[in-house]
Amino acid sequence: MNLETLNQFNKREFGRLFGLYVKRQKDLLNLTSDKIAEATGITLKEVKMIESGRKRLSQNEFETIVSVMQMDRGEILNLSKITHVENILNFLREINGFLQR
Amino acid sequence: MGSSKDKKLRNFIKDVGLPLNRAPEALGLSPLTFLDWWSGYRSRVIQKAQFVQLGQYLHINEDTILEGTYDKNFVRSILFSDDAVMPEKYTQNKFSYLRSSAHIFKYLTLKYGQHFSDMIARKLNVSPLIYSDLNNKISLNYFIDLLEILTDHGFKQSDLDQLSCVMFLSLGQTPQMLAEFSKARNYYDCYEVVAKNFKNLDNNFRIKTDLDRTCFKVTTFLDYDNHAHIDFSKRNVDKVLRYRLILAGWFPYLSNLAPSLPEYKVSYTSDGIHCDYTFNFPATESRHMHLVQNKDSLTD
Repeated sequence: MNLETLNQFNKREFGRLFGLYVKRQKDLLNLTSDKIAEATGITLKEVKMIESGRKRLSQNEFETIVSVMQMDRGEILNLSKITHVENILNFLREINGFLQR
Repeated sequence: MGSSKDKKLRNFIKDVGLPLNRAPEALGLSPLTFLDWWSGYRSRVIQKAQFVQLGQYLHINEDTILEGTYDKNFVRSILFSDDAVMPEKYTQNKFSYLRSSAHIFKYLTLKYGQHFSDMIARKLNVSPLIYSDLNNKISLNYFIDLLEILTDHGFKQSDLDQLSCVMFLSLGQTPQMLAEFSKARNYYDCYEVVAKNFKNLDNNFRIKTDLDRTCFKVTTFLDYDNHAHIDFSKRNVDKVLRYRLILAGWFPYLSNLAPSLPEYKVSYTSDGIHCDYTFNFPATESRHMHLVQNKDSLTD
């Protein structure tokens, strides 16, 4: 999965949603941030930043996290589509006062 | 018992969505003791006995909780099976399919977490498992109350608008409809799928459709007689109609085409509410209206 394509619509929001998904998986798999850091080779500080959506991932880091956290491809695609939808709605509101009251 | 077992139990509670007001009983603790532990005020509360009690409460082996090998769906079916009885107001004149709102709960879970979406379901007095069968029907009152509860929880109109746009989140649970939308290559094809599937989405409105290569016209009518139980306040009606308007305009997104709001007209008569929609197809639709250069990247 190409990260640049997935987060092209809103990098920040995609990062935030992805971080939420990482946290859900962390709970589901009974992992700690320490263990995630150990398994992925990413520093603990950065793992926590990923969980809170504050770190811009590289493609490599993204693939590693997805693999280690057993994340579902379809679900990640959904996160991207959500940012895409929000992007379009914001654009439509700006250009023609979309459904303004 | 140690902090690792505490953590495992917390994770379990969050993962399966065990309602916190039922947790004391499930764990064999007094409500105060449970609250002290849950809030982090007291530790060394959770013993082996709590896991045994929880296992018995949920009809599972307590070791599966410790090992993380429990069947989540089974646990949730046990937790929420007593919620199968629905409020009466949602069982009258059941003309809406749950399919038409399933994506909303999926969206709430992705954006705000399982506990939030379960909480919304509980506020509606319905089971969080309500969407296990999308062919089930429910009253339009359910949807009206859903929008109202989300508004009470701080959702602005712009947030509610987004709910209309994310139907793709649950379309996978209706594979045939998903396949038909995916195959559509232009607006005509897309709205042909919509026309064919109206009956699988909503039967509250009486619908007439007229589709040709330039536009798709839909005439809908919601009669008061068959919906006497619905609160037809202007606020409720406006919310529902706005949701439907945006939803209608976003069907093309399911076929990877740009969304486009229809022209619409609403009129209130003594016998009901008339809504007429006209979806004008762009003249050069096939080439310029696809959303991303690499179409395949969003169509998995």
